[in-house]
Amino acid sequence: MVDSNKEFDDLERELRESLAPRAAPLGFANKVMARVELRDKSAFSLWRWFTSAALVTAVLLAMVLGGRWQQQRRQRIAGERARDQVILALRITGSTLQAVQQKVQQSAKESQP
Amino acid sequence: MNKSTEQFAETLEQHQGRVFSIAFRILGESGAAEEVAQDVFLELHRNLPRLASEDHVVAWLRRVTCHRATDVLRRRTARRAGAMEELQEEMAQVPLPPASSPLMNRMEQLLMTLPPVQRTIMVLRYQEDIEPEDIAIELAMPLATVRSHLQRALKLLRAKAERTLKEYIRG
Repeated sequence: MVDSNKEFDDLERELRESLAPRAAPLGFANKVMARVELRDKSAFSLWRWFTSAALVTAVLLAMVLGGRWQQQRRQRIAGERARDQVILALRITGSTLQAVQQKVQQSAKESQP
Repeated sequence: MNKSTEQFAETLEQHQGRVFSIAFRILGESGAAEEVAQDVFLELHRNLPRLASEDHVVAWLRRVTCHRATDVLRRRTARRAGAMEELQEEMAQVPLPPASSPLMNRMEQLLMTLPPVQRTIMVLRYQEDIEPEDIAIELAMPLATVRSHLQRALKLLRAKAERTLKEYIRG
C-alpha cells in the first residue's frame, strides 16, 4: 500500500515536471496579431461600407424628395398663374359685358320717343 | 499601437505557451492546437475589456481553450466512423514537435492514449496545477466525477508508465 502510494506520488511528481507548458510555435504571437489586425481592418471596411451606403442612400433620398418638392412647387405656381389668368379673363369679360350693356341701354334710351 | 492592443499583446506574449500546451495536449496535434490557440486569442481580443483581472484572464483562457479543443475533438470523432480507440491509437502516433525533454514527449504520448475527458482533466491538474474542486467548476462537472476520472487516468498512466517510463520514474 505504501509502495503503491509512493508510486502514485512519483507519477504525479513526474507528471507535474513533464507537463510544464511548452513554448508556442515560432511566430505564433505575430500570426495572432496579424489576424487581429486583419479582422479589425475588415470590420472597419465593413463599417465604412455601411457608412458609405447610408450616405449614398441619404443623398439619393434627398434628391428624390427634393425633385418631388420642386415638381410640386412648379405645379403649384403654374396653377396659381392659371387661376390668376382666369380671374383676369373673367374681369376683362365682365367689364366688356358691362360696357356693352351700358351701350345697349343707352341706345335703347335714345330710340324711345 | 493603442493601449488595449498593447495590453492584448502583453497577455498574448505571457500566455501563448499555456494556451498552446493545453490545446496541444488535448488534441495531440500541433497544427490543430495552433489553430485552436489562435482562435482563443482572437476571442480574447474581443473579450479582454470585460475581464477584470489577470486571474480572470487566465481562468477564461483555460476554460475557452478546453472547450474549443474538446469541440474540435468531438467534430473530428463525429467525422470519422471508426471507433474511439482507433482514433486514440492514431493520435498517439502523430509526430510531436520537439519538447524540452524526451520524458515530456513520452508523457504526452501516454497522455494521448487516455480518453479526451481524462486527458483534459489531467492537463488542468498537472500542467495548470488546478485543484479538483476548481477543475469541477471550470468544466461544469461534479467533483466526484473529476476525482474518479483523475484516479482512473492515473491508474491507466501508471500501468502504461510501468512498461515505458520505468527508467525515468524510478531513476
